This record gives sequence, structure tokens and C-alpha cells, in this order.
Amino acid sequence: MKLKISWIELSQDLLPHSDLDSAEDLKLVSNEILEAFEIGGYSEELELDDKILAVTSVFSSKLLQDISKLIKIYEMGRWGKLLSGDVVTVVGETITYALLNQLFGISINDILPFRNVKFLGTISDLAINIEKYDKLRKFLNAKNGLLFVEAKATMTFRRSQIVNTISKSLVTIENLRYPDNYGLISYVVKYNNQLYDMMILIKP
Amino acid sequence: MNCIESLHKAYILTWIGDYKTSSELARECIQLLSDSVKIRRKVKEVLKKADREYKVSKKLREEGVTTTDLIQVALYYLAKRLSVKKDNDIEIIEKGNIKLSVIENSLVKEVRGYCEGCKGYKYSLLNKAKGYLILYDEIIYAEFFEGNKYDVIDEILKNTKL
Repeated sequence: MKLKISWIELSQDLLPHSDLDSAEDLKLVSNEILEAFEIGGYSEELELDDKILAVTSVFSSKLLQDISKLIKIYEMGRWGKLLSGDVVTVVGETITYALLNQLFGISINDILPFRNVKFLGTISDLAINIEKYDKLRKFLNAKNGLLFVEAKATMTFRRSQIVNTISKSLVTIENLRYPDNYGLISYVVKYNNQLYDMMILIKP
Repeated sequence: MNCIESLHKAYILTWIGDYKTSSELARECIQLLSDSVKIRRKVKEVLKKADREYKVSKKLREEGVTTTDLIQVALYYLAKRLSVKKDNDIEIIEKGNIKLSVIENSLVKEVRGYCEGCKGYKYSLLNKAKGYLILYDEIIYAEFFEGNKYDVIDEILKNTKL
């Protein structure tokens, strides 16, 4: 499966935290992120191994069968909305875990998904120990710390909806990450009939 | 005992259908993490007070709730979810460090398995049935049709020596 990756990096100083900031800041940043994606396009193109998708689908949150086939339907879908929100979530999670595995060699033995307890509001989908992975350490230019990953996906490209989801994810990541860990929002989107993964990296 | 590892194992075991072992693992973790309830109470207080979502992160740190605390809380609630007592409603085949189950409710049959301590990646087509087998670290996954279930299990067990 072909996937175009678009890296967007931002520093935590841009995000609102204190009483001095306003609620508009968050909306503005989320909007800018999406704009950066629309203008900037993609930086990497990757061939995801379909077999790894079958393995990482084990860690997705919903009880569905044949997730790797659903991903194929998602990839081909040219007829508007085909999959309900639940299925798209699972597709997003599966692709994100497989991508992390392929890009940074994140072992599946280290994947403990927290999706089932997201109702707490203070946890992301995944937490990775940076120290364990050389590639990741070099990529982030960090010695230690944790990387918090949020997996999101959407079938239909609606700007307003995507901006909303990005701001929500930013808040969740900030709750965990602030002030000295790392965050990543992996947003799988269908844009101009091509599959993209918007990788939003938040650095301290 | 490392709770992250045992919950990871419990998570895969629920995928296989071995609810019994997974709830045992999770219950051990609940005891270890029992002080999470206090932290959660603190977090709830902060969530109540914060008037805007984005202010929560800073307020949490000011109240002394750290990143590791939040992970601990999540682990505790995950353990609670996995600890729900339930009988296995599927036959679990055990051999050494391997646990397998076969799901036969559709045309394509599925084999799901967990191989403790295994490492490596292997993909192959099955000889004794029409289907394929994926071995990736601890996960065993196979799909097949037109074949005997026990032949396939035998073949998988032979193959797992990575």
C-alpha cells in the first residue's frame, strides 16, 4: 500500500497553555497546520507492507475482522463515504502502528494501546520510550523522554472537521507531554484521491 | 513484575480469546497500581476547575501530576477493563510457549496465536490448506480455507521455530 507522508513540526511555544493565551490561538494553530499540509504537500512516499498491517490490526480497538481488507477498500474508495466512523478509526490506528514500525522500527512488543481508556481524557493512543530506539532518537534529536502518539483518520476531507480534530488531539497530547516530552499526531486523510498521513510533531 | 509487559500480553490474549489468563494478569496489575485512584481524583479536581481545555496541561503540572502519573492512571483503568471475569468461549490450544485458537465462523478460517518470547518475521503460504501464515514477533496469524484445522495447526507449530 502506498502512503504519502507529510511531516509538520511545531514547537510547544506556539500552543496555548496559560491564562494569558486565548482560545482562538488553538484554532489558529490547527488551521495553520492544515494549511501547511495543503500547501506543502508530502515529503516522503512509502510502501507499507500489507502483512504488517494484518499484524498491527491486532492492536486496534474495535472488534472487526479483516482490517487489512478494509484498508484496501479505504484506499480505493472513490464513491464518497464508504466506512462508518468506527471503521475509519480502526484503519487509522492500524496504519499508524504499521508506519511507526516501518519508519523507526518500533517493535510490536512495545505497543500497548490506550484507546480503550481514552474516556479519561488524559491519555493518548500510544506512548513510546524514545531511549529504546536509535532511529527515533536521531530523528527527534533527543536523548530520552517519551513520545505520545495520537492516531486519527478521516474518509471525507472536511476542513472544519479536521481542524477540530487536530485541536482536540493537540489538547490531549499537551496534557500528557507538557513540558518536556514529545508528541505526534498521525492523521490519515484522503486528499485529492490519494492517501496521506499527516504527521504532526510537537517538540518541547 | 512489569505491568506494561503483562498488560501487553493480556491485550493479545483477549484477541485470541483467552479471557481467563488475561483477567488474571490484569488483576495482579490492579493491586500494584492501586494508588492510581488517588491521582485520578486529583486529575478530576483539575478538570473541574479549568475553564478552558488548553489550560489543563499547565494546571496539572502545577498540582504535581506528572506524565508518569497520567500513564499510571491509564494503565490502572486498562487493567480494570481487562480484568473483567469471563469464561473462555473458544478452545485454546496450548503447546509450550505457544497459545492458539481457531475461529471458524466464516468461510475463511482464522488462526490467532501468541508465542511468548518469539522474535522475527516470517511469511509463508500454507502447504496443507489454501491460505497464508504470518509470524511477527509474538503474534501468530493465519487465514485458510479448504483444509483440516489440525493439519494447519501442526504446520504452524512446526513453523514457529524462528
